[in-house]
Amino acid sequence: MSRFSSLGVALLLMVISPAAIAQDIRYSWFEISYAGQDVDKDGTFADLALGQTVDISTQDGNGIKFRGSIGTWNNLFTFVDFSSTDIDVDALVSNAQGQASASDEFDFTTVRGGVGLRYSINTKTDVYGAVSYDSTDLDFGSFAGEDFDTDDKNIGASVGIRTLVRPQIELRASVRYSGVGDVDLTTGEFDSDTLFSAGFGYELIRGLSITGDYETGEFSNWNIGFRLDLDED
Amino acid sequence: MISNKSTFVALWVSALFLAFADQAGAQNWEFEPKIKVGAEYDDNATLDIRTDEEESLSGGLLELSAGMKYSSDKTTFVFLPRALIRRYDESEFDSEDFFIRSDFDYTGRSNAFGIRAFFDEQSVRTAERANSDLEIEDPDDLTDDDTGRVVRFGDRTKWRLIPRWEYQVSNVSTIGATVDYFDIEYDDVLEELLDDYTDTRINLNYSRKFSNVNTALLTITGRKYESENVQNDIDGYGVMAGFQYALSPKMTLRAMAGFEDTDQSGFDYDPEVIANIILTRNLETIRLYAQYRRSLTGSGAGRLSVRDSLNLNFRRRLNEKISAGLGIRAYQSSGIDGSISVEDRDYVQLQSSFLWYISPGLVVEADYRYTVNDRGAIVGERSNANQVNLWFVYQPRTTPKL
Repeated sequence: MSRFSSLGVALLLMVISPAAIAQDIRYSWFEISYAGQDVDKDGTFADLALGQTVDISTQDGNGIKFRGSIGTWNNLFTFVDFSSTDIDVDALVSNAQGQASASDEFDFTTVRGGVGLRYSINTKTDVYGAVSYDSTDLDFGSFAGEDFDTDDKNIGASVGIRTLVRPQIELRASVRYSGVGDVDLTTGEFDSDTLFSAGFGYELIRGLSITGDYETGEFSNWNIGFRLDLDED
Repeated sequence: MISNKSTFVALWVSALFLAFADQAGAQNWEFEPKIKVGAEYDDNATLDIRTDEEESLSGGLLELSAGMKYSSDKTTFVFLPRALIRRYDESEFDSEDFFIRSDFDYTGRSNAFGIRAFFDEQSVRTAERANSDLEIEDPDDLTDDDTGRVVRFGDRTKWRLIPRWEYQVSNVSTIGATVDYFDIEYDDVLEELLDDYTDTRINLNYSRKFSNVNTALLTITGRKYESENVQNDIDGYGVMAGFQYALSPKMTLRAMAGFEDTDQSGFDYDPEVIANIILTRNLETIRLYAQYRRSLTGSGAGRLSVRDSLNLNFRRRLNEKISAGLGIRAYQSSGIDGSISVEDRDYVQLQSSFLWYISPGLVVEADYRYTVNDRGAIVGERSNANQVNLWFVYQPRTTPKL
């Protein structure tokens, strides 16, 4: 199944779930954010035929993140998460003529979709667990004919807690495992990683919140944006 | 065919004059003139894959439209001409875009028929780039005929005609037929990149109500795609079946799936699975339109391609003064039979927008769009763009919407 058909089915399944009963912690929303992304990696591409080596060092960048969630049906919710950022990359090209340095940006895209189950500790605090299908894609240009492009898909899982410390203020934290949370740029092979995150939401007016999150790991990232609730209650 | 801009402008001016004319004695007519003045900034106006060759663009926008609606007991007629004038700091990007939306409906005792007409004359830079328009009140307006080839110069002229007929066989059964005709022409300067084409579909429809909330649907379709520089036309035949289900009085799910087989001399294609799943939700302060569609789409590329697309529009009225919305247009396009073609691409546009109703007739509208066009299969590269628009809208006779 293609990426878009998977996303499409997930999103439609999200939306056809019955409208959430009035609840303090919301699971039915769409969110769009400005995102920062850290991809601190090094890689080497050696072309024996040309006698040339390209060393790259990736850094950080920014872009956009879209997230959506729908719930709950029997305490189940479903979600999607799409992030696209431009990351700075420095390169050193070495060959018989000498060395040359250059800089550019590359595209870093992550997509996640899955289902979760929440459990209410009390009216103000939920814990949840979720499983997901994760995709990570690094799309480079080329400085001197090298190809560092790589992508992969794998499963992910997370557990987290969400609490309302004030009627308008939500704090949250989570731990997330991703099968595509790390990459070796020299081989193009992906590895797993565990990421830790913390975030907040502040409801400006009913239905509209400012949100922010920070997640630390091999691919650390942050985002700040706004969230629209899907329910009228 | 109306291809002359002056003819169109004359039509539009006449319509605008009518819109502002005295309405006394015209009880069946409604007029909705709208004037929008805005500014646009785009950091990669041509979706260039090379970051060092991206062209940022800023400029002013003027949009004039005048919607007219006539309604009687059996007849409805809607006519909406719109002109969009773009002026940028780099004049080669300037454009004058013209659009007409027209819909005529007649409903008799057991027969209903109508015709919809769409006319677009638009710069290729924007016409070949799918747009996450948040004002999708008409799903038919959501086309998938773009190639992502956003060459900066030249215009695209598009006609789309959709005549339809429906006959109520019994209290529960309805049969009907629809023709969906596209005629696309590009400026001569674009001949090497984009080909003129026509794409015609004939759909035979049958629906049967099983309850007040559940209706079964069946569509048999035939199509012909003719491209100017392609020797052999492409014919297609398909069938889709599904249902429409009212999940609640204000939420409806429509799901159809089937296959379409295409035939082109010299090529042997397998049938492709097609599907269309649409969910609409209209609450007092919320509008939601979500669609997943898998289809065989025609475009100026001179061939058909398989497209998986996801369209989402969500708009919410937050209070009397403010509404906000999010939109997604995303698709993955590939060659029929899994063949690799230059049209293979992933496209995503995310949009967020805010509307501030200073008064019922005066609105400030701000939107941000992020676009990704990834041609990984052939070109191996992708491009992205950030666009910001700010509009001041004067709509003296328009009922405020979400």
